Amino acid sequence: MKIKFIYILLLLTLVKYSSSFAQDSTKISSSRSGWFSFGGRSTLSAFSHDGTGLGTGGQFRIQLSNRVNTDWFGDYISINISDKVRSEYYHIGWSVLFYPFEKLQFPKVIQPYIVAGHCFDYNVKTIMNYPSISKDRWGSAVQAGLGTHFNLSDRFDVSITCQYMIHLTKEIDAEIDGKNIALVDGHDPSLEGHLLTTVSLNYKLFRIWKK
Amino acid sequence: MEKIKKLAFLFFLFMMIEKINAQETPIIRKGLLRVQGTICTAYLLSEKESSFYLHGNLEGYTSSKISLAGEIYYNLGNPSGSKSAFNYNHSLFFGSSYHFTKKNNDLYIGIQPGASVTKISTDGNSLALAQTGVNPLLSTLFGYNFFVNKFFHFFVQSRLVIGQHNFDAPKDLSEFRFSAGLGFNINALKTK
Repeated sequence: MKIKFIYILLLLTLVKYSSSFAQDSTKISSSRSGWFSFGGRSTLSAFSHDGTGLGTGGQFRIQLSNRVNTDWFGDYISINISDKVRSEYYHIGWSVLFYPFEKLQFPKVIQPYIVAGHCFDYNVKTIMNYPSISKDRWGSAVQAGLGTHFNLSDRFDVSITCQYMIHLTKEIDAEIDGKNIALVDGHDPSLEGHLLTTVSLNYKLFRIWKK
Repeated sequence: MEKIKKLAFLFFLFMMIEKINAQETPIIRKGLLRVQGTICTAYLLSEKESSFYLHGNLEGYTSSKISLAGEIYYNLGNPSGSKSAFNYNHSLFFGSSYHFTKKNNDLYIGIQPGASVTKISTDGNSLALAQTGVNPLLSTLFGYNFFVNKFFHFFVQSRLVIGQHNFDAPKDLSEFRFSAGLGFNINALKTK
C-alpha cells in the first residue's frame, strides 16, 4: 500500500516538473543562425577633419551562422566645427561580423569579432550663425574594424565596435579664417573618413529560420 | 474507501504545495512591466543652471536581470522662472539596464542612447532668431526600485546626459538629472 502511495507521489512530482524540463531542453541549441536582433546605438566620431561629434541611431542583426552575423544600421552624427559650422552625417548601411575565435563563442560573455561593411552617407554642413548657408553631398563609404559582444543573457548583449569609415566621395570643407567662413567643395576622394566608436544594445527578438 | 480518502489527501497536499509555490512567485521576473510619471529635477553642468522636467518611463523586463526602457523628458523650465539658456530642451531615450535584484529590491545600472529637441533662448545669447534643433545624446543611469507588491513600487533614478546643441550658438547639453516617486507595475506574463 505504501509503495503505491510513493508511486502516486512520484507521478505527481513528475507531472509538475516535466514541463519545465522540456522547456530547458528547448533552450539548448548548438546553432545560432537565424536570430533576429534589434537595438539602439550611440557613436563617437573622432579623428576627422571636422572634429569630434556624437551620434545616435539604431540597428538590427540577422545571424547567418555560428561564426557570421550581419548588422544593418542607421545613425545621425552631429559635429561642431570650431563653434562656427555644424557638420551632420546621416549613415545607412550594413556590416558583416565574423567571430574568429572558436573558443570565444556564444554563450561566452566576451565574444570578439572582426567587422567590415558598406554604407551610404549624406553630409550637410551649415554655418551656425547663418543657417541658410549650407552645402550638402551624397556619398558612399566603406568601414572596417574590431569589436566585441558582452553577452549579458541568452538574448541580450552590449557591443562595443571601433571601426574606420572611409568616404568614397568628395568632401565638403569648411574654411574658417577669423570671422570669414566658407563652405567649399573639397579635394577628390583620398581615403579620408572618421574613426567611429559605437556602443550598441541588442536584443534577440526571434529566429527567422531554424537549422 | 480508505484508498480514495488517502488519494484525496494526496491531491489536496499537492494543491497546497502548488498554492504555496504560486504565492512565492517573485515580482521581478520576465514579463514585468513598470511605468511611472514624475517631476524630475536637473542641473545643466555648463550653464550651472537648474531646471525641471516632466519625466515618463515605460520599462519591460526580459528577465530578472535585463530590462528594456523608453523614457521621455518634457522640459518645464527653471524653478525660479529667470532667464534660461534654452527656451526648451526636451529629450527622448531608449536603452536597457542590468539589474541586481534581491527579493523585491532592484538596484540597476543602464545605458540609453537618445536625442533632444532644443531651442536656444535668444535673450541670453544675443541672437535675433533661434531655430529648433535635434541633437544626439548618450546617457548613463543608476537607480533603485523597491516593489511594494504586484502593482506598486517606489523608485529613485539618477542620470548623466552627454550631448551638444549645435544650432545658432553651440551649447553643451551635459546634465545631471534626478527623479523619484511612486510607479505602477504589472506582470504581463504568467509564471510557467
